[in-house]
Amino acid sequence: MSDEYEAVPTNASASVEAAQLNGASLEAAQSTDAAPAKINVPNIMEKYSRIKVNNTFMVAKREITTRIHSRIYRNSTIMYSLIGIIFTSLAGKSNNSDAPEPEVAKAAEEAATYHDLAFNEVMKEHGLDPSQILAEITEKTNALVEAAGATVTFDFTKYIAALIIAMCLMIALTQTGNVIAQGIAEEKGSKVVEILLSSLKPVELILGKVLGIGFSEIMHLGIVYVVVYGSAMLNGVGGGGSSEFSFGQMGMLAILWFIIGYAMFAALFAALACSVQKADEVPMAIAPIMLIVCVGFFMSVYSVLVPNSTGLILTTVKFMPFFAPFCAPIAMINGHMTVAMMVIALIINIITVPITFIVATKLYTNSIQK
Amino acid sequence: MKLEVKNLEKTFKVKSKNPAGIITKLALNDVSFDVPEGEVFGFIGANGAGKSTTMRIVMGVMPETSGEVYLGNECVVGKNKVNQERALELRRSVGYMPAERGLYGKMKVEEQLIWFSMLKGLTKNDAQKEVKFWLEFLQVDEFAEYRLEKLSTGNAQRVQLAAALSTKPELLILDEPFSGLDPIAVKVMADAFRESVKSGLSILFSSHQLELIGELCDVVGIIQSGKMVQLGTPDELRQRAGAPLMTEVPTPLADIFGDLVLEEKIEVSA
Repeated sequence: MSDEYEAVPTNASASVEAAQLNGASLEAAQSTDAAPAKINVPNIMEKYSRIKVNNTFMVAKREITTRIHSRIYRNSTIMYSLIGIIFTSLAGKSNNSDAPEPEVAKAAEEAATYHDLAFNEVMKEHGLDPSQILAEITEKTNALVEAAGATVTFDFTKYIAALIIAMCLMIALTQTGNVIAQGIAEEKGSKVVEILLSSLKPVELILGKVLGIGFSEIMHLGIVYVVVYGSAMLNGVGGGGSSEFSFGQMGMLAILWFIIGYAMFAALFAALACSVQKADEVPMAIAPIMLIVCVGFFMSVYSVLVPNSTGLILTTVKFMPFFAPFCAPIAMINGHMTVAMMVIALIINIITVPITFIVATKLYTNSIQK
Repeated sequence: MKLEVKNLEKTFKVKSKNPAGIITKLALNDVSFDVPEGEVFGFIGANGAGKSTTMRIVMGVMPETSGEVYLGNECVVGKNKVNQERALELRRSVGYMPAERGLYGKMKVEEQLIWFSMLKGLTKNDAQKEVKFWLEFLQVDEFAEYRLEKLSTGNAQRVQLAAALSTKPELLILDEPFSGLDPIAVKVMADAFRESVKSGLSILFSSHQLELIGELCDVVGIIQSGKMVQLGTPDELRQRAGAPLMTEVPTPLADIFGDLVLEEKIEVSA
């Protein structure tokens, strides 16, 4: 860009640029040479937005390198992967041995038996009316199922999968949140922030931090996911899952909602952590967010147990910002949410992200300048 | 780059038990001074006199109550200040070293200095060159691959100064750069100052080492309870305190400091 200006010094863009550099207002430059200057306003915008991206990128890059080189990061990646491998191989072992059949298979078998019984009975009574027969079959099946106990409607695999996913989401979110909060508090305590904020805007700093830490965490989760899924495949338990979703799809769903949940919570962690004077006060400062995370987790587990609830909280919680990242994927896996509902929840939550970001940046700027 | 501070005021609100509930503490009271290009300005004052507050306001990390600060000829603090982007651009050419030191403990020395320099707008090549030069000059190049937290206080402080200098600054703002340093380190740092002033750099620094201030500074400002009580060259200050001027060894500022800040002798110079 600057080369262009040097080549054509009489160009209006150069005059605007020069005016800007001399601290004169942009309007003054525009009024003298209104028409061409107008065209070049985006150039200036572009210039500033480029600087901004550079700064954000630099902050993010630093976060990623520091985090990846930290021992905790490496150790926890190895630990989680190992735990996953041990669990999947144990599951593989128990599958191969003559252990009792899984609950889900038993339930399906039961259902089929009752269904056949009912079908035969109705056929004997009526003869040849398919629609009516079918309707009555369903009715009878339901009645029989009810009489035998409600095991069929409760899919144990789905429930366990949902529980594990909700737990992983909670751990990943609190972990990244803590990293952000600690980082922000340390920067404030060591006054690095004073040097940083004299060369970049608070929003660039927070955005860079959130992106950098988020990227390293997604990488961390991704590695664990690939290792555990691979080990599950090798042990012959990877192909399982429920009728609608394989384990692989469940994992993808969880990572998608982790990204949204993370984007929503991360800036808030930063804003709250900034209110402390020392890094060891961070746990207290971020306790309110931890509470929201815990409530979200328990809601998601509870909503699976009461799938047909018409209560206000349990129906809205799948869409509500801050709770949806936990409740929506679990509701989806358990078939309590259609794809359309999921899309609505996604839209609501994605809209919330920039709002929380703006609020958090305001809070951050205020408490840093105290 | 020229720094001008005009009528800077800062009040803090402190909660108290008195009936009003809040007392207003005047931290800076009409502080004015300027640091012309290529000059060294020494800031002296008791603890809590307002030295760091002034520096923080200049760097834009603390909002002012009233007054103005000019960098170059552009207003960065005050009612007529330039927009945020321009102010940041101006501040990128200022090397700043806060009193509590501001570097990442867990990052390697060289890596982090290059990062800071690049953040201040240097290209990677320039940053590497500058960082190498200043680490060697301040004799801490052997620690280039160390994490900062592994370094001793004095060495960390040299690194900190290298961080401020390797951003190719046009103005240096240093908050007590000599505190807690051994005599050799002080000499090395003072040399670094002299070296960088030669290339037209302006420096504003605060210190409690008055003999150094007397030796290094072109202008000295003494601040007390938020008010600039003395402003002038070291010789002017000696004159005001009534110390003999034409001696072989100039009277140390430390000997006349008490006289300079005593209430009766205060004569505020513009």
